[in-house]
Amino acid sequence: MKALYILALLFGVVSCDKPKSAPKQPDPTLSAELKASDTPILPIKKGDYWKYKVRVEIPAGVTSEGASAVDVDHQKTRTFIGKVTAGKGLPEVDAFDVVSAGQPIERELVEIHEDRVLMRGSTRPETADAKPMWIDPPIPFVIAGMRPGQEMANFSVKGSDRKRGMKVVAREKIKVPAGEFPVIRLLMTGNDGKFEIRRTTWFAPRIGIIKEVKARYASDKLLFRETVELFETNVK
Amino acid sequence: MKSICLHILIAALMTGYAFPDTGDGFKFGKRPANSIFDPSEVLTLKQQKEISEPLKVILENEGIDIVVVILPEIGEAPPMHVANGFAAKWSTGPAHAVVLHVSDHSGTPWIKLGGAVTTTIKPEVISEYITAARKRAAAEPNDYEKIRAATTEAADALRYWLGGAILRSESLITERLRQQMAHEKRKRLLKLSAILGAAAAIPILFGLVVLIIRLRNRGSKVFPGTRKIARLGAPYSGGGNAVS
Repeated sequence: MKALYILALLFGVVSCDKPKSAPKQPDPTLSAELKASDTPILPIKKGDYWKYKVRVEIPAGVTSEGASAVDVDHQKTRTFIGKVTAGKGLPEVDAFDVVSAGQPIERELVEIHEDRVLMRGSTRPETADAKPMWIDPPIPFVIAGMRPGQEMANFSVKGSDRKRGMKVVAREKIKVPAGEFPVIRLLMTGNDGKFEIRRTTWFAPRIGIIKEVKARYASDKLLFRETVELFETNVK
Repeated sequence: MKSICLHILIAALMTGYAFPDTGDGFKFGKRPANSIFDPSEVLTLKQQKEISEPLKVILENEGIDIVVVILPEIGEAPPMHVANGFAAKWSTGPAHAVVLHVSDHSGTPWIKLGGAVTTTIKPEVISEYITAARKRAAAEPNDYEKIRAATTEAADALRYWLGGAILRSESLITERLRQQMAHEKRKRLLKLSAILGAAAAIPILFGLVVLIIRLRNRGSKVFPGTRKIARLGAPYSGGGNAVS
């Protein structure tokens, strides 16, 4: 009888040990949701284009002493040309040709992955002896799911005194002539030798660059500011 | 030394207008609705709107509060002291800034950052950023551009640092949850092993109990009682009748 009592007690202990509520799992982070909504980050095909309104401001006295201020508008078109090689011995990368009136074509070299765009450099394809500016290893320009407060790599370009640092400042909405877009606001600061640079880029995942403001300073003076705004694109 | 103190005192008295008292004597009244205090109308209404509208959106969406103060002069008063006075009276929220612009003062504009978020950043990082930002804003060609650039710089810095603080706190929470889950997992494993141990002990205990019961019931078989009837053995094995 005693034995039965012991057994009953043991079974009672086992059956009364109900599992307590498990600790809460961390919620899927906002980053993960953003990453999913940002991916693919730039689903584009050869021939896709982005047309921009460009405003260039040069304060008085910058180009020469007594020179008046310059404030001009023009257009710029960025076209995706697919994969190209920037030079002998360099791998094939994705490229955009940027055409502005009166300027030689500038070819922007990047690597477009599913969830990120990496900077690879630039070159001038029409200038025969132009050496490409090649960034190795590539530098992240934009990554799906990026959030304010994240800092991208600080980097310097080999063989030059160019330094850059990039930060994610905000995720916000921006209105430009092409419409309103949810964007990632990126701030790049750095220098090209004695020139200080401040560049803000508004990048819309799945669409591309929506707006850019580039400013250059030297000797405590603004040298020029270029404001670029998207007014037409076939990317949707 | 006395003369230096006297000079400072005279300067402070002479700049009574521009030396806002951070106590009850603050003489600039209530904060303007558009967050731009411009009594001498350095900016046009259109320019004020161009600066204040993005600031309003940032305040509504992210709680970052930026006030622009434009004064005609501040005498000998230290600009950051003036900015501090306005920040103490008008600024709110966990991340805020005062952009102070004094038209004819060299080095204008000044940026005073404040709020809880700035306490999470190393002072030297803030100082380095502010120095570079002020330099860029001061390089702009006119009052409007200087103020616009300084507000953008202040907003960018606060948005970046506030975002960083949120990311850090989230990663801390995630790490704490991860540790809590690992602890709970260990506890569950210990409990499970205790239950399994107990379950394994059940048949052993059962066997022991059965053994004990059997042993207890065997008592008289082990020790048989004493014979009460005499039994004759050899050489009388023919049985009792053989004798009689």
